[in-house]
Amino acid sequence: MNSVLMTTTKSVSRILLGLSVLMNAALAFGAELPEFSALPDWSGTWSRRGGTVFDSGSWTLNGVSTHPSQPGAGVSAPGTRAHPPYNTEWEAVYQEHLALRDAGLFPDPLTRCISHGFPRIFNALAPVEFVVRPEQTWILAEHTRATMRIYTDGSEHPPAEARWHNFYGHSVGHWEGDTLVFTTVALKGWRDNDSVLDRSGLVLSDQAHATTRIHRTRENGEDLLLVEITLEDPLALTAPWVVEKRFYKDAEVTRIFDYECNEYNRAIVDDQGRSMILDEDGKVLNY
Amino acid sequence: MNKVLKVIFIGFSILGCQLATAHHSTVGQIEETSMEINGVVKEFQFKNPHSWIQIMVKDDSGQEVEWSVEWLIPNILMRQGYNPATFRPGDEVRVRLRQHVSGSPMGEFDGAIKADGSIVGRWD
Repeated sequence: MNSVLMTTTKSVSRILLGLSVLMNAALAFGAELPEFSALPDWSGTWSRRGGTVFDSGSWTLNGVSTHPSQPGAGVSAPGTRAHPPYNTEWEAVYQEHLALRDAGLFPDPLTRCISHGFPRIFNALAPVEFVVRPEQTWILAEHTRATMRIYTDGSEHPPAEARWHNFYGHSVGHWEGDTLVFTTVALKGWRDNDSVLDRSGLVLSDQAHATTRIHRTRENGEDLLLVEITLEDPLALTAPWVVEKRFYKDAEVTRIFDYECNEYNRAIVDDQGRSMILDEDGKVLNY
Repeated sequence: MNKVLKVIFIGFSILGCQLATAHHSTVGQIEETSMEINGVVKEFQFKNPHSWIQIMVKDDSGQEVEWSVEWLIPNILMRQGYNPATFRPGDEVRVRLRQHVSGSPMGEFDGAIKADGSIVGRWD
């Protein structure tokens, strides 16, 4: 066999082997990936409207709304829709956190530049991008440079004993028409006291899991992505808790910029939960 | 300002109100009413997670005091049309801010008027 023929044969063999590996991987996942052209258009940037909290009733300070423009702001009693259906133990934790928040002493991990995690990414400030591909959807939040990956390639969650619990957990999903449906497991929760759902101090356990549905719709002439999250937690909640976030399409000229939180962070949190502001020499300015 | 930019500006201005306390809590730390200082910009720290305007201000005894005035995150400021050159070292400024309750020379930025009369931020 001459060298040209041998080289060609090897190249074809490698291509066939590569295709075989890819096909086997796809078959192993049982994937029937949608065509890219069949996926909805979620391009551009989207900005959340409404509060940065899930329990809208917690948008208060000492019983007074800290942001009067927020509809529904006010004191929310346990048992109302806005209030998470905590069991007694976790309700006590939440009330303790709310009291700390009112005193300016809740140690928000964000002050230490720790990323939002899920589901707090849907409370992130600044625009968010939703990058839709057949095998994955990425949610990219400018604030804290957050990235969340949702696998839609037919793969499944790891078995419980093999899960690494982290800020964003593990998400797999599928498309129901134009709606992305995904489940999230392996969250950190409050196990290390560094992952919260919002600054009110709303926390869940590391056994929390969620089902999220996102679809594009129009309301009052505006484009928006409606995010509905059903949170369940056998340790902290007595019933599923459904929360909703709305992201409105920004003008096409909107651009995302870099956000390296540790670039020049002049705020630190002391052991009492106080946010200390430092001058250039490291001296505390505000206490 | 054209209509599109106006909508963006208003939208991000509303967002900016949330961002003022986005990174760290200011609960109970900031005066509700604004005060004014007159001084010269030493440095505009256009950096994450929050921007700071360092301003040299002469106190009643004639001594210079450095004020730290906190503003929004640079990303939001960029979308509002500001940039690192919005304040330059040596700029004479009249600044409106809400001072820290401790009386320290620091506070949250509301707005400023520069020597050429241009307004930065809010000056209602």
